[in-house]
Amino acid sequence: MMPIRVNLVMAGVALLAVLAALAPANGWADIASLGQSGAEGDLARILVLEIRLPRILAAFGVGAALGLAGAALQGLLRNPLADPGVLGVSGASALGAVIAVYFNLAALSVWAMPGLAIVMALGTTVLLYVLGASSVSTTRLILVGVGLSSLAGALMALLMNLAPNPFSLSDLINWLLGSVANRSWADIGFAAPFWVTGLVLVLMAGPGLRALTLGEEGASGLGANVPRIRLLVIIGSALLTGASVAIAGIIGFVGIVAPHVVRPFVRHDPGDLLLPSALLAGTVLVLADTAVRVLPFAIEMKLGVTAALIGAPAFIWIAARARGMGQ
Amino acid sequence: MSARLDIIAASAGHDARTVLSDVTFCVQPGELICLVGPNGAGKSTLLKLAAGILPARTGEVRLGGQDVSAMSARERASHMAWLAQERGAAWAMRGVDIVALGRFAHEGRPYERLPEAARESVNAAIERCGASGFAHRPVDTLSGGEKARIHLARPLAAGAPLLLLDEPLNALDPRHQLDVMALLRAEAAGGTAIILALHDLAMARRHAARVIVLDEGRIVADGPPAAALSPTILANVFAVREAPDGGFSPV
Repeated sequence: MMPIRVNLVMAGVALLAVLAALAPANGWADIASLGQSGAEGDLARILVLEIRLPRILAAFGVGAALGLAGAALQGLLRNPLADPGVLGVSGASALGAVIAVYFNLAALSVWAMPGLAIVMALGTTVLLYVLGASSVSTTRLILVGVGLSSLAGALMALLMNLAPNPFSLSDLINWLLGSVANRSWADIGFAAPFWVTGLVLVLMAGPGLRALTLGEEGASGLGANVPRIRLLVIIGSALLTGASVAIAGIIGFVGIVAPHVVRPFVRHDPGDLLLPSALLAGTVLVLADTAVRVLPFAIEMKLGVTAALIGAPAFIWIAARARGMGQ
Repeated sequence: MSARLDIIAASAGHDARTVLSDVTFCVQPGELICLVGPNGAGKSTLLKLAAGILPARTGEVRLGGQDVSAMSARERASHMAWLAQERGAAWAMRGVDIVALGRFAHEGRPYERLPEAARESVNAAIERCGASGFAHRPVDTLSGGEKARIHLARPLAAGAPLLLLDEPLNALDPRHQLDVMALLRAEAAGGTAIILALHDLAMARRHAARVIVLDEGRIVADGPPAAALSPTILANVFAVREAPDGGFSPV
C-alpha cells in the first residue's frame, strides 16, 4: 500500500534530519559526553537537550503544522496555491501576536502573546466560516480570505508605523521575520496540544477531501458531508497555524511547496497527501534551521527569511505552471 | 429500500431564482426515463433535487417512501448515484481512482485499497464503459470523450438502484453514444431505475420508454415518446418541427 510506504520513507528522512541537526559543529562530541558525570556532562546535557533539541523539535513542529494545514486547505479549496497565508489565517494570527507585543501585554501574562495569536487564528476562521461558507462556493471563501489577509497586513503596518521608539519597532520586526531560535520545552509544551488536535481534525477530513476532487456538489452527491469536512479543515488548520505563528512568527510558503512536491508520490490523492506533506515540511524546516545555525554570518539569519528566499521562487514556479486552478 | 422515487409538488431554485415549480412525478424500478427540455428548462436542477443535493423549497422528494431531506448524504448516495453535467476533477488523479469515488458511500478509498468485491465492481463499470484502455492514466491526460466515459463509469460502479445522469452523452462520438444508450437499457432491464437528461430528441425518442418534457421549470409532458414529443410539444416547447429528412427544422 503506497501511502504507508511514502509515509515510512518520509518519517525516516525526518528522523535523519533531526539527528543530523543535533550534530553540527562539535555536536558529536557533545552527544558523546551526554552520559558523563561532572561539569562536562552537565554542559553537554544542557546544550543538546535543553537548547538544541527543543529548537529542532520546534522547527519540525512548525513546518509539519504548516505543511499539513496547507495540504488540507488545498484539498478543501481544490487549489494548489491555497495555504494559511492565502486565507488570512497566518496574517490575523501574526496581527494578534503583534498587538500583544506592541501593547506589552506579555507583562500581564506569558500566555498573552501565544494566546492572542491562536485566538485571532480561530476568530478569523470562524469569521470566514460565517461570511464565506454559508454559500456553497469556496471562491467566496478565498476572496474573503484575501481581504482579511490584506487587512491584517495593513493593521500590522499601522502598528509599526506608530511604534514609539526604534526598540519596539525592532522587536516587532525581529518577531515578524520568523524564527525558532531559543525555543524551550515550555514553548513546545504550549504548542503541542494544539498541533495534535489540529492533526486529528484534519486527518478525519481526509476521505472527504478525496470526494471533494469532484467539487462540492459532486462530493455531496457521492455521500460526503461537505459542511462537516469544511468545519474540520478550517478549525484544524486554524489550530495548526495559530500555534505555529505563536511560537515561530511568520514562516511562509512551506505550506504550499511541501504538498506540491509530495503530490506525484501519492498519485495526486488529496487524502493520502496530508501526512507525507507534514513530514516533508517539518524536515525542510529542520534542515533550513540547521543551515541558519551553521552559516557563518555575524548576525544569525532568520528562519522565516530563509524559508521565504527558497519558498517564494518555488511558489512563483508552481503558480506559473498551475493549470485549471480551482476547477 | 426500493428504488421508487416520488417527487411530489416540489419546487426548487438557486438563491432568489425559482427554477422548478410544482413538479410531480414518480419513477419505478427498471424504468429508463429521458428528461428533455430547452436550455434553462430546469433539467439539471431537477436531477439535483432528486439526488438530494438541492433542497426542495416546497413539496417533497421521497425515495422508497422515505423523505430524502431527512436522510444523511451517505445514506442518499448509497441508494442513488448522480452524474453532474460538469466533468471536472480538481487533481490529476487516475481514472480508476475517479471511478473508485463512486464507491464513496461504501468505502472512501483509492482504487488499490478497495476491498476485492468493490474493486471488481469498479473494474466491471470501467469495462462496460469501454474505458479499460486508459483508466490507469491521470485524468488530465485524457481526451474529452475518454473523460466522459471515466465519469460515466463512476455512478455505475456505485451499484445504486437509482441513477441520475446529467447529459451522459456529452462529448461522445455517435458510436459511443449508441453504446452508452445500449448499456443504460441493459442496466434498466436489470431493475435499475434511470433518469437521464438529454438534448438529442431523436435519441430520446428511439431509446426511452418514457419521456418527461420540462419547460420553464414545469413538466409539460410525461409519457411514451410518441405522445410526449408530439408535434404540438415540439413546436411550443422547442420551437422546432420534424423535417421530411428525419431531422428537425425551426418553426
